[in-house]
Amino acid sequence: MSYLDVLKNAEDMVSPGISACQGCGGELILRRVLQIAGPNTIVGVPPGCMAGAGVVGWNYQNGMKIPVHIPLLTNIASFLTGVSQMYERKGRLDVNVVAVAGDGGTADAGFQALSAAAERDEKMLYVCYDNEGYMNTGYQRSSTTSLGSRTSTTPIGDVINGKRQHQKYVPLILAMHECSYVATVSPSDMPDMIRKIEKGLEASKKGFAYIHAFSPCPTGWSYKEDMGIEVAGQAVRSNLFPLWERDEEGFRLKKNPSPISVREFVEGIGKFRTLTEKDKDALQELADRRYATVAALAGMAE
Amino acid sequence: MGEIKVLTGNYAASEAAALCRPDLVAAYPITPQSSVAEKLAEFAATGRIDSNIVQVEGEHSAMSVVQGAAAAGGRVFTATAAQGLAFMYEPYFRMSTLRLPMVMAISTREMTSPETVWSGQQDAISVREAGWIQVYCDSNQEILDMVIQGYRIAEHPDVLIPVNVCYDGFYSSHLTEGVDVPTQKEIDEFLPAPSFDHAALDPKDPFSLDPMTPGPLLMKYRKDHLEAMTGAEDIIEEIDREFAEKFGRSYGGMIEEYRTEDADVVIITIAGMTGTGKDAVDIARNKGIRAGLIKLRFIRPFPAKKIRKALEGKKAFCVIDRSVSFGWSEGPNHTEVKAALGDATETYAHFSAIGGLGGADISLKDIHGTIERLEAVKDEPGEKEVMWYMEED
Amino acid sequence: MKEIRLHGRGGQGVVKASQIIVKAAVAGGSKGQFIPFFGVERKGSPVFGYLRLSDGEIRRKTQIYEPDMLVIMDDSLVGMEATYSGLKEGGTIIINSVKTREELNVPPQAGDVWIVDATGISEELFGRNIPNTAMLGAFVKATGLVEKDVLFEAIGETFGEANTEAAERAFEEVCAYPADGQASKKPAAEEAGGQAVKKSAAEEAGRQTAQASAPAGSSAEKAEKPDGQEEKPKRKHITPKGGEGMYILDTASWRVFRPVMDKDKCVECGLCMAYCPVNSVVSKEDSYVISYDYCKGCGLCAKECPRGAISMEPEADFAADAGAELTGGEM
Repeated sequence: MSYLDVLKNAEDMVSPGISACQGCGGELILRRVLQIAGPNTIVGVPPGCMAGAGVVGWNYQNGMKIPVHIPLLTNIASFLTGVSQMYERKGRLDVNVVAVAGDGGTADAGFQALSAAAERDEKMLYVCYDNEGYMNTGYQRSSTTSLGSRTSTTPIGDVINGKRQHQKYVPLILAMHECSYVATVSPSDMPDMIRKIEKGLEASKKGFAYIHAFSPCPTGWSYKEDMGIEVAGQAVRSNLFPLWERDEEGFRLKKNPSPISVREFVEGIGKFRTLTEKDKDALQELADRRYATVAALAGMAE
Repeated sequence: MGEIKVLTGNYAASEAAALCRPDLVAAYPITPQSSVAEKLAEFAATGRIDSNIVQVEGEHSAMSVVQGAAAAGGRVFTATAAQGLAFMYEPYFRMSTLRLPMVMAISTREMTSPETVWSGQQDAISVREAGWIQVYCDSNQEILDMVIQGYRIAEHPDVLIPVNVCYDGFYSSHLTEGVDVPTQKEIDEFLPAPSFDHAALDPKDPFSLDPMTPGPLLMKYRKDHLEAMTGAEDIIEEIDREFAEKFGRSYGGMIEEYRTEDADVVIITIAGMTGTGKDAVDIARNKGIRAGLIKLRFIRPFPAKKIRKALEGKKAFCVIDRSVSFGWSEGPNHTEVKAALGDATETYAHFSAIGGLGGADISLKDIHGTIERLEAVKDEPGEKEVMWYMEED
Repeated sequence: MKEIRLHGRGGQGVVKASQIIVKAAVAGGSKGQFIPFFGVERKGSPVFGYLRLSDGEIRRKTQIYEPDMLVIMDDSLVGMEATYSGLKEGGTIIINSVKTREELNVPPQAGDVWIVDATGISEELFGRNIPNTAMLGAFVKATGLVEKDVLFEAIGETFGEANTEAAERAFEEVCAYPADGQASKKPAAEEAGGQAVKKSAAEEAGRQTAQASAPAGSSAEKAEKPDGQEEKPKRKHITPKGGEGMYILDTASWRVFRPVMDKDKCVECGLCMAYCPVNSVVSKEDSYVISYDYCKGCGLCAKECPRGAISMEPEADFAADAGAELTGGEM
């Protein structure tokens, strides 16, 4: 079945009206993941943009058609460990246990629980929508914020010009946990993304599956609402966000035969407006190194 | 009939937890609790229990994993102490406010700093406003019995509040004594399989667990919680009576009274110091002092009515605490007992005693000294200076 | 002490405008206080603010239930019960609109209603609907509660000179409609026939058709469902959880431009469906169609369409039939 046929027949599990910003990458990723997972799913959405957008509901009202809980920012992988083990005990491994968390709940405050659950190879699919910052609380820096980004806590000034550190490359760290499945996805490559979500769900029946999604954010990154797919595609083409997966057979990297420069990617994105030439060089080196590292892991010659 | 086993306090907690057939246990080692988790892992490894054991990376996750399992309808258990309890405070508070029932043993330990690993109740006392029911045990038998009763209380449809079974680190956790361990059949009769499903995540009956809730509605949930807490007092007493009928052991419910009937002076104790206190009372009685003892068993809910009644007609009391109240500059349970007595407080001669912090002993001599002081001041109503069980410099 | 409640939508600058008033009050030697209502603030969603101005100390820190004045940054909000709720007898309303007092359905106890086309001014000057600084000009004219010069200086410092100009324009153009009698001056829209004003008027009309959605927990929602909590058996909600249907926001009301598909150009590639964050493109009988129930108008589908078959058209152009199509907002 083509990815379009999959989507055509997949019911939306999320309330049709949620207060995610216009053109939100996180909303797109959340809806796709849960469409593929379907009604026989329990999902945890920790504090962050998606939870803030109302997907867990208000008052006595539900935010989804499936059971959804907002765990703590710090414990999504641990909370779902308990859920997953109980469902295995009940003999109901058919129930999908899914986390959809931002980069704060994944790479920072939630990282300890995530790392432990991955190491224990708990049976769940964990999807991180990485918009490179704490967007729900007003675009503050996170450990996945790219070098030079303007955020509320790394503002532009004469003394310090945006974030001064490179982002932490979470998907490769997760792959080193030797858990069942790890992949990176971008909404700009929807067939690849849908395939990997399907694969991740399948892998979650055997162990821990982790998907790291590039999640463009028009509000926090300052670009026009209709540019999200373009931005995500440029990130992939620049090699800052290579698309790869790691399963029991090892690493596979989606080849990028004609990469664009990082300079081309950052053009027009507000948060990169004040990048220095030095910053751009550093980001270019990072992209080259990242692609080469994954290519080497995938056994692909440069 | 059960079997008398020689057990440490920690093993008594493990034995009890095992008898309650938990679906899942997640715990992280910390002195002086570690052997509770080790013993349960051993029970699972040898097949004595059919529970999922999750080897988590910290107490925060221990509480989070059991929370997930309870939210999926499971009966769960964990144990901790001191820094571990502080570390899990975030999901700890949430467990009670999600109204998910469970039992957690706390092998109480002093809070750092100064660096310490020894006994003290500052850990459990400090979280008494987090919505859990807290019971403090004296003997290893009581630890075992209260873990079992704890599930009945927590899972009662009119309660649905998690329960802490607290006992002194080292002085109880590592104390070995004979414990009457009931048979599995007896426990299965007393404690049916969990049936709480007021919040069970299930795709067959989907709902959002914990939607964003505005203030006025949140207050309704808090009020419900408080009312359930108050209502739990009767249920605790009821379950104590039912347990006594079946197993022949009663602890008196919310509080236990010892030789208070005709007493002039009363010491109010909590947890492991109680046995010592009873001996001190007997010694004082032999010397002609009309002494008695009230043991605080539950402090959440606080047994205010019971305390008022038990102190009626008495002249003097002292509350002995193994923790402190920063700001009140006395033992926290002294503050609470005064609150329970209200205006009647000033009709008593009373004071707070603090001892046993950081593993220090609370000796017979300490408590006897307290009784003698009470006897000396019993006809002079009013609050006296705090008594610290410390050697003079 | 004057208690003023502000109503706007996320992105319209309610908070910043109020903070500037407080700044001006303090600079002018009196006291000011502002408390924003923290709901889920997103571009387009309703936002509340509580402003107090006084010569003496302001001690209370509560929401405002019976305001002396209302400042309404977006007249599509007047459909929400929370907007006019509790206005004092003779209370003042300052509103961004091109409508008349009668058309705005103001409550009977209202005193003067001051109307200004702040959206028109901001679109003319900035090319975007950020009406807050223009509303400040109207506010100072209508109330005199802070000194104009001090306020305008603060506007210039914070937002730049173009915003002072917006405030100045609004100060001149704002028009009072007393409770009984004639408007002090004709509304700007009726006088000027400029392009920007026309567009703004059309857009206002477009926005008006979309029913405003109340934030959960607002007094409006409580008013709509007074017994909602009591109907449920007690046992059911021991644990905070959902039980009464789905929480759905009327996100269609955020839309300023709507995607329109030209089926002559469409090759049914499906990318619009694949990329839509709201799932507003659906497949019907092997053809992709756009549903406007919840579409926020982000334009991703138009941007990504390889054949250029989707164009973004001003929502106002569809005002006439929009009412029938907008079915969202089951709050």
